[in-house]
Amino acid sequence: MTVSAPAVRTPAGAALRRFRKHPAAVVSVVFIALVVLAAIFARPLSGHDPNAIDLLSARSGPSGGHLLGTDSTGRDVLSRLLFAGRISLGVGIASAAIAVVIGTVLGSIAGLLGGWVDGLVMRLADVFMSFPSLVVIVVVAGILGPSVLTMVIAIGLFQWPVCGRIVRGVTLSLREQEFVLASRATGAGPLWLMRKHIIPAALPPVSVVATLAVAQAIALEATLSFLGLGVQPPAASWGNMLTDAQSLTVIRSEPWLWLSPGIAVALTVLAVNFIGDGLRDAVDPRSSS
Amino acid sequence: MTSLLKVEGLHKHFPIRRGVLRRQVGEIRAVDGVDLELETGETLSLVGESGCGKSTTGRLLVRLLEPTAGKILFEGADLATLSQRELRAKRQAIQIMFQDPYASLSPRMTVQEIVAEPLRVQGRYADAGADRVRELLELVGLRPEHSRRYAHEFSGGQRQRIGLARALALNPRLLVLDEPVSALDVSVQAQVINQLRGLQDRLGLAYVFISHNLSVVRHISHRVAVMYLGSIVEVGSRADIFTAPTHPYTQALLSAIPVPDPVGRDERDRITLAGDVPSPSNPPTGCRFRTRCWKAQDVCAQEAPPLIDRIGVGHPSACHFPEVPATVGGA
Amino acid sequence: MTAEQIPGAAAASVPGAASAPGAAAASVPGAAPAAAQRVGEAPLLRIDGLSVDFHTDDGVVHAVTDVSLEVVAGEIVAIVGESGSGKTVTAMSVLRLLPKAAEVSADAIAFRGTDLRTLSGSELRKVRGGPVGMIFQDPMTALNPVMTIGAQVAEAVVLHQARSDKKAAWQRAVELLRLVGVPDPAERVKQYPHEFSGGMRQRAMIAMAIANDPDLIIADEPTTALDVTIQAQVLALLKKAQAETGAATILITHDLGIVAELADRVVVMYAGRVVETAGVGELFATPRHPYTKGLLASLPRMDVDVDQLDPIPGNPPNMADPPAGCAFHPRCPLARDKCLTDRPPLLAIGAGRTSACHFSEELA
Repeated sequence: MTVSAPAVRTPAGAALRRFRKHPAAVVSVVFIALVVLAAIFARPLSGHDPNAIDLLSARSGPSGGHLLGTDSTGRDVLSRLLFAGRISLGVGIASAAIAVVIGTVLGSIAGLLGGWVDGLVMRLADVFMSFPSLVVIVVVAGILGPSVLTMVIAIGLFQWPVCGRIVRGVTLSLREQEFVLASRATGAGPLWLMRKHIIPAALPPVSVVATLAVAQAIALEATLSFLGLGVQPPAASWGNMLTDAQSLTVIRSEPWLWLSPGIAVALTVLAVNFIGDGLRDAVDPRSSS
Repeated sequence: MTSLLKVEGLHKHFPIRRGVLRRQVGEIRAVDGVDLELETGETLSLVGESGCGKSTTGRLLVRLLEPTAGKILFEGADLATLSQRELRAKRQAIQIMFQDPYASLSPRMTVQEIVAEPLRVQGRYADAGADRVRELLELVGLRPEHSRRYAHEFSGGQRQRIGLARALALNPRLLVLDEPVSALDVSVQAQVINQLRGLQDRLGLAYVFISHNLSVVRHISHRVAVMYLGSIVEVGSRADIFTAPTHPYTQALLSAIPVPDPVGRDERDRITLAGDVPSPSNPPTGCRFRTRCWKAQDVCAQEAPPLIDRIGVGHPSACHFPEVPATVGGA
Repeated sequence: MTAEQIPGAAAASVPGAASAPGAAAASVPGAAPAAAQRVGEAPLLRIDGLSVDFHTDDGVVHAVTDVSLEVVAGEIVAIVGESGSGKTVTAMSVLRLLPKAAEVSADAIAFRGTDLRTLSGSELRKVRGGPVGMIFQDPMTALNPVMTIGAQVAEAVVLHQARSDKKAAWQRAVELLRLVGVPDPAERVKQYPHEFSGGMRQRAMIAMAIANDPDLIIADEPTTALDVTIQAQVLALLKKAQAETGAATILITHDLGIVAELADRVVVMYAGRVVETAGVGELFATPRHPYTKGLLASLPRMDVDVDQLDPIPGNPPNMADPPAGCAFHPRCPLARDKCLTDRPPLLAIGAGRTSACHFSEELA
């Protein structure tokens, strides 16, 4: 007998349907996709070298040759903006990835093993969460010297506890679920449970915090670079492009210098947050009103 | 000949911890001295109300919990003293099926993945595992073509069959069935019960059938053990328990079941027990049942009655004053 | 209302229900509830043409379709069915206790002649817990965890009194708890729901339901969450409460044993519709719908020995996509071509009996 092939209704498929009902999130996905594409194709899109100094055309406003104008040394603002997008998105994604990996590993170990291991991991999370992260990162950057790598690691280290707590929570609730007991009864060990049951179950909520972590990291990168502790010139980042806009005269008379990176940071962070909200509703139907 | 399963003096005490230092302030004696014996192809039912320790006993048998004390001899070997490697091999022979058709199957796996999981865990999937899954699904009456669907696409009865297929994957000789039909609709419940009986005959399985539903237990069991507050109060053949129960608790349990026949409902004599089951963290002294028993005497508070055959009816009961009632139910 | 719907067909309030054929009828309890004898008396509760739809991701689910039902004063009507049969939804729609997503339509939901759908929110709250008492399956979620039992029972009393006398209400709470068999009620009123066992919580729920001398009690699976010895206690209590208050009772259950113990009249539901109604004696003696017959046959019995149970084949219908024609046809031993296309109407098949089967005659 043949089976009338009904569309196999995967849990992911249902989540996707719910996500599509979120207009802001869907628009944000399109927007972020454009930002990513623009960052990847920064060179052909802008047509300028982001670091090419052209003192003759310094501080000129938007024109046919320089769509977003030029900065104090005559570098093309559009091309710097696009290249800076690479750094900002890269830092955001890389540090969120670090946070997710550390959080997932420590969270599931804490949840599965329980006892003193659980206590240790959770106290460690408390320590990281109670420190003012910005101050610590500033100090670390001061000691190790500012670089993209230290920044990525520092941001990642301070973001893992959120993810760790979620994974631990999922693990604790799964541990007593009958399908996990059934798996254990067949002889499955902790590694198997982690791989086959805990991580797949934790993925939806973790994807939400990961997205929000990306947004936070982009904002944090901008802050650090603005303070001169992140991405170092001449490399462009949205944060250090804003550094140029510290003087009142620039703010008043050369708005193209700070408006475009400012808007880029704001819109990107906002869009990533919208995606996070949409994801949350998609993976957990109960959370939506 | 040794029994398939022999349980001696099984105890499981859960510590109650309080305060910052997690000091132990007491313990819950969930299973408090249980002896069982089971032969190949036989169904032994554990019956009792919530908190009587029947599910904990089942989980101890499949080693989801570590016993506090006692022996679990499976085919003559004590599971507690086996090496890891031997235990791994032996535990495959004892599998468990759970009550909840929703919670017992992962929502993120297809039926194929669920049934294949035990084989993969044991590293036996590569060797014709896919064929084995198909065979298992057919064995429990599911269409193998549906194996790529997710569990939520199936009804409760079908989901229990998936759980059964998973439990059978490693060719167990003993299945612990923890309330396997309690969550099912009546019309479907009968299908699964028939299936379980059919499989027992075909595969020579032994069942430990855990249930609070005495009508189902009466239908499926060869032998029955009645539990109350962590210990067995009466054990015997199906006929012993259902026609000649001597423990007052067994008698009360049997009499409490609503009979699906309105004729003569107002004339039935009911034993209605007073009060609730006491907390297992603070059980009564002596006989555990005495606080709800209409026969209780002073001796019941002082001495816990051992599980023995006092009046020569052929099966033991843990009561100082056992007696066969005039009429109880049918055979 | 559809043409095939017989108004009031589901009611046993038809005069002459007592003269049901069959030798068993005479000794059968409930075949002739005293109240049903009074010719022409308006029913206490009349539900007419009730339909409830839920809009879900999978489309519209017709949880209840065209259900009509009457309850006369003093009788116990059991609504029996499996999960998804619409029995709970039917009862909850009486007091508008369904979630907002539910779309309810009906020709009438009348309690003592008043259409409950015309009542305002505050008027409806006067009915709930007043003349209509509710008992839910899970007393833990139905009770407020941060209020003492006594305060909750007293609140149920005060809410329905013209002038509030807190002291008197508290006294009444103690008295009610004693009535439902809570030991040492003067002390236990001060406790919180988590300090009560499941059976004791259900007793407290019953105390609240009968606090204002109701005319109708709606009990939704009142003992499903309880152990069998506690269930026996609570069933005995329900029987006593019903006898003392004289309240009519709608008892929603899946347990045919409980139906046989308590009910006067039975309404069997399948896939959101009523498929059979009968006095309890007749229903168990001669079921006239193949679903009812199948249910009875599939029960393992304490009093009968069988080698193999006789299950109903197949699975309950997916309510988002129910079968065409008679919803039971895929599982029915009597099913013929007609059943695949024509839905059988609920027809009177004798005094006080109805059945929705094309071939109910064959089961007679």
